[in-house]
Amino acid sequence: MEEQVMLTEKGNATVAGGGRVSGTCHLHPGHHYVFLLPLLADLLEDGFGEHPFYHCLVAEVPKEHQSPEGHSVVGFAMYYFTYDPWIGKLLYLEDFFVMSDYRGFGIGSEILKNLSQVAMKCRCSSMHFLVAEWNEPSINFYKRRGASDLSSEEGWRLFKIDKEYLLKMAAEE
Amino acid sequence: MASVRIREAEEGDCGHILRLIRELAEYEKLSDQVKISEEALRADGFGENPSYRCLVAEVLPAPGEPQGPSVVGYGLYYFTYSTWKGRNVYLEDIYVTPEYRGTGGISSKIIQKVAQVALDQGCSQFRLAVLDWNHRAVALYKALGAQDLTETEGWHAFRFEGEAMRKLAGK
Repeated sequence: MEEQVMLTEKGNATVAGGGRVSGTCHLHPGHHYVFLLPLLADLLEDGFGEHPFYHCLVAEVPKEHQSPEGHSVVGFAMYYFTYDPWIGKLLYLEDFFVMSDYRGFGIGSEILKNLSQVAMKCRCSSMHFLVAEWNEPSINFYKRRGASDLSSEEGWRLFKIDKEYLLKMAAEE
Repeated sequence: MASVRIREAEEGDCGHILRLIRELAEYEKLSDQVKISEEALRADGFGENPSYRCLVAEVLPAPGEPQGPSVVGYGLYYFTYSTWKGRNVYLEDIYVTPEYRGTGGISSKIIQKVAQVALDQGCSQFRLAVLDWNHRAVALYKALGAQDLTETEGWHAFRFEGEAMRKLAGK
């Protein structure tokens, strides 16, 4: 199966937006399409304009291995570039998913391999990403491949400030 | 009495920004980890497709004082992307030189300006990372409404680098 999986870079081609992107949306089980549909236009504009905000790799299987619903895109990784002022550009892996029926065939590993090659080609010194501490299978997957948990090892905590507080701050100026 | 203003960094500020980056690293006893050069900072921040944006805090001397303005702090940020929510702002570095801390709330002013950028760009969220021993910073951010996602949602930051990344790439 591994040899037949094609990883394609979603480049600047005018993709048949509906088909591909809806395939990507399908990979979030449990979401309601009606809720996601308004985002399709944004995803298209944000990822395929002149200065894309993100990049995407998709894992595509040949017709004979399509899912029962007829989907050939069975995995994806969404990434963009961030910056470490001490070193320079980094690759940030935002989303990484393989449909459950297609796991255990090395698709995830192949996606990671592609990503690390992109990182090296773009002169990024490292790849960063988040993992939930309860997600044991993912933690093992990454640690087996040499990833470090910076939160545990160095004490990093991720914080967020929501819009209502941004508005408060801006109003105080 | 000197006043402080927060403004967008210009290419000519890169020397000052690098000086402050090194100051921060020195303070953390990690100065040998700063590999970046002034040219790289210029190219990465002020080329056609910048990898980061930066604000600088500048002290303006009182009228009559001989010296010119000086850069005493910076806030370096960039845009991230969520497939569910779109663009966010991520504050990567914020630093104020020790003599100018504690008075005038320069850090808060920098964060405020970054928050304004976030709103102007239609961002719904602003994120940053803090070290757990940095209680002062944690207190500052919480006072501004920040929530600790590592605590509430269990998110951990992971990294592949150096040898591990080369191995993944099959090199």
